[in-house]
Amino acid sequence: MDIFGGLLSGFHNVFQPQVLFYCFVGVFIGTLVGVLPGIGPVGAMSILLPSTFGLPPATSIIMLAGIYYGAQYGGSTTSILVNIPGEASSVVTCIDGYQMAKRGRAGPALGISAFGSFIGGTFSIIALMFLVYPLAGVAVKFGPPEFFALMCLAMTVLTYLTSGSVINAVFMVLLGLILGVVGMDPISGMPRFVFGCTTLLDGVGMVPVVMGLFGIAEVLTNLDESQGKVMFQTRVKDLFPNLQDWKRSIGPIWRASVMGFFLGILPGGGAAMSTFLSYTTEKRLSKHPEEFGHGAIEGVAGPETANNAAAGGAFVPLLALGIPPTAIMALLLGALVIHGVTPGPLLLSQHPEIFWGVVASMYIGNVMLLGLNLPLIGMWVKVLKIPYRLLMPLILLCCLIGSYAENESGMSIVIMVIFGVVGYILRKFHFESAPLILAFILGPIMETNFRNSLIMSDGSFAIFVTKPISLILLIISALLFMSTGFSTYRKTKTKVIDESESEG
Amino acid sequence: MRKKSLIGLVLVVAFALCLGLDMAKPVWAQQKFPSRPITIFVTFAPGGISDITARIWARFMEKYLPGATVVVDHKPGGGGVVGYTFVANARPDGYTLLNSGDFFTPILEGTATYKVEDLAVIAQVALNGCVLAVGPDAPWKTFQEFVDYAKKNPGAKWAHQGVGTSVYFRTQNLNKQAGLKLIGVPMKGDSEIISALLGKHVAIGSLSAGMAKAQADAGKLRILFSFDQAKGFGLDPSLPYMATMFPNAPDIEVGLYLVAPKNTPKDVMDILEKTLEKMTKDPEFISETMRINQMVSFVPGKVVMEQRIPKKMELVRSIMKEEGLIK
Amino acid sequence: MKKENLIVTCFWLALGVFVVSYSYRLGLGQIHTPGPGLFPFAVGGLFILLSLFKLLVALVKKVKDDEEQKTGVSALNVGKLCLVVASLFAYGILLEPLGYIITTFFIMAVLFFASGYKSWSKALGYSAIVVVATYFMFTYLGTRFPPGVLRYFGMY
Repeated sequence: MDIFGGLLSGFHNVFQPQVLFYCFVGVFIGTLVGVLPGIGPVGAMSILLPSTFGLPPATSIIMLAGIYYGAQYGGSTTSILVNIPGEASSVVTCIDGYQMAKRGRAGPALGISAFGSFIGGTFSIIALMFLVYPLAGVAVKFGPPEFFALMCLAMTVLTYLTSGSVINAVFMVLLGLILGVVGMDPISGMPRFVFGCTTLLDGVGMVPVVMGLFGIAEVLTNLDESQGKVMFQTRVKDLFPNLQDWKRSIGPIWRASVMGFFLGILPGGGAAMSTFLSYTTEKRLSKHPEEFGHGAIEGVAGPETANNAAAGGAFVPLLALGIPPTAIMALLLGALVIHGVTPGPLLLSQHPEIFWGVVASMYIGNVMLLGLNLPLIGMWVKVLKIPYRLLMPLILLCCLIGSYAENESGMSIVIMVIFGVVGYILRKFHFESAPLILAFILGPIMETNFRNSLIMSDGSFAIFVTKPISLILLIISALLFMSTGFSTYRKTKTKVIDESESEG
Repeated sequence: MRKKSLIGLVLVVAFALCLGLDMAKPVWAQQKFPSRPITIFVTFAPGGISDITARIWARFMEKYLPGATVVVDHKPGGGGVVGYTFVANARPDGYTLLNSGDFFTPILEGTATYKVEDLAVIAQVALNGCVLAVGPDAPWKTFQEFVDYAKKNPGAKWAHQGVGTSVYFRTQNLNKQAGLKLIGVPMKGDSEIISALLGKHVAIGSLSAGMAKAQADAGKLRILFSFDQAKGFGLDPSLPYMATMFPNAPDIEVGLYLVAPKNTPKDVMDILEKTLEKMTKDPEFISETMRINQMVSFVPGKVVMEQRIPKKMELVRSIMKEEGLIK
Repeated sequence: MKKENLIVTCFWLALGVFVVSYSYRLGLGQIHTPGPGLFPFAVGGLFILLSLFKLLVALVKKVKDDEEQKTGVSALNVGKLCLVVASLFAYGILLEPLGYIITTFFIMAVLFFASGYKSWSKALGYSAIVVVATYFMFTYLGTRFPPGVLRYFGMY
């Protein structure tokens, strides 16, 4: 496979006015869609799909792909500004991003997020170019036991996300797992925890839960405190990350790029997983871990880079094997089929212009996005200056529209409000929502793969330890778990010792 | 003071205008069919084979129904229940339609809140091709070899799209008729099945012909068996199929229907049925359908509702009983 | 252990017990065909274990809680919160039957009022502006929105 020749021809095809235009349209809509909570890239892509029928296949994929990675850029905006994640991969950004905004550092947060996304996105495209075929084989090696082990690792890592008590985080993870069970069991078809509500048959729904736990709960919490208080420091310190910020962020960005890309290859929650894996890694590596949860810029730089890198990684199985790892990729696959292109291992040989066109367009798209997002930072920061009493109802309206639009059901709004109340109560008792959401999203993957593994092994648990990848992941999870356990144990022990010494 | 009340007046007028427009809409709608866009709902997420199928149908329906705009929307979830329930409860005016396969499974399982009579099949448009495939390094080159292997090694693992899907029942039916003693491993769609086969996690998989063919052409999968006769679906004509290998066994065809809510006026149903009939004779439609490895097969709605569906329901019910899915 | 923490832990314990009993009735299945109840049973079990652990720890030693005081909710605020929550519930239930215009107008008025616009006329005024503006924006500004959003506004 002649990489440079292919890439050159790809660029040649992309640098046509029509293609560039559609690329821009795609990334622009993607950014919009990412910023508006509730309306996700899948919805936008599926609506715009018919309008691509008159276009050549490469151009339409370029536009649709643009929506996808554009949304990854935009999703961080609401996370940072109003603590409402645009989608699963932006949840972790809320933790430190919002804190930074509260301290008047929204500009640098948005800035480092844009730059990190750019670096992560570009890195993943380069890696995609060179590694697409070798890596495709790796993705396929992950079967149910390997996925289960990966999810165990993810659950263990989730407990690191908290800046408070670890036991409380564990409760949140468990609660998230239970919530994920609600709905129809995919393996047996039996409804679980549904209590006769047809709306719940498909699960509680990620959008209402996220918007409730983050959006509505935030509003309720703010209403609870003194009236008319402007929540953010009015003097915004600077608009862009300063040298200090860059020095702290450069390491997380590189690590997150690699992590994000490789995890993005795997089907399922690759992007979301990479964000909190990056967060945890940075927290452990940092010289001031206590800052995490209170506005550490590494907590924004890492996850934001990771999710864009994961978006690139998701193209690996699609382009190399014709197997889409996520619902969004499945949509791209469908788009290709409608245009008469059958994606599969033969895509490169039969339609090299599509492969290279998409790759080349991703470079250009990322540059466009950087150009789009940086100037907007000034605008976003001004939005924060709008008095809260005017801003809050508008934010809520967006949440209402967003949760309704997903299923056109008023029940989604009701669910969202219920979770808003739940989130409010949880906050009062110092439980954090981030581990809950992530466990909620990943729980079903964990369970399905656990059960499938047992079906495959005819009931033997040995399957988890005989497969090498699975074994390694489980060992890592166990080690991480024990290390958390030890540090908590030691902390409580010193507390008790201090107590008894002061009393004795 | 005067400026404020003027603004107030303008607002009230604008508000009343909106309210008025909003309420007037249903009145506008009572015109000749079709006077509004028709929406075909798909019970799976966008990008999947149902989505692609529906979009092809939409395009050709517009061609044969002058003045119509047909769009595709999605209501995934619950294995189709969400979508079926939605359309069953929709206004029976012909503007809300459903593209689906056999929608009676949730009824048999008891998870449905609708009855078979709540949905009226306009017509069957096509049949979905299903195949059995194995990985590239699998030791079986023909289906007969696999059958012999399975009989000698009960408990071979077979990947499918989920308990309750049409492909699952069809393969389970074969499993019993041929005595293959396969154990099913549920997956979330064709992509996962392909992954599982490529990664050698399961022995064999049942999936839609379109996805399988794409892989087979690249040498990544080997298609051993097609449920329907292969040629009409754009597959290798030498593939064995149900009728040749198991001539006496009943089979469950996976029909693809366009469905409307019950009580849709008869003239609307007739218009739609005639459109579909014309569409299925269009050579371009036939070739487009074959490209995604389905076969055009028009069956009027009445026949489907009165003959095909009850027969299939019986077969599926007996399989479900045996599997313990229903008592 | 502070009273609030005790209540919360007991709540988790109760939740765990509920989940475990429900899952057991769903069916745990056999080891080579795990049933639908197995996973939630395990998670519920962990809930119970963890809550018991926390209670045990609290009984065994008197550790000074270093967690912050739960912020008291003043009477006025509780009223406001209840108003907002009740209105949001009502919105979800009434949106489809009554349509976007009426319901959004009222919910926005409530929200504006609750978030600090003391006079009702101001709240109603702003609400009307928002409703009118968004209505025209969405109905006449093209169809680049999910049909769900359009249906929300009474179209399709």
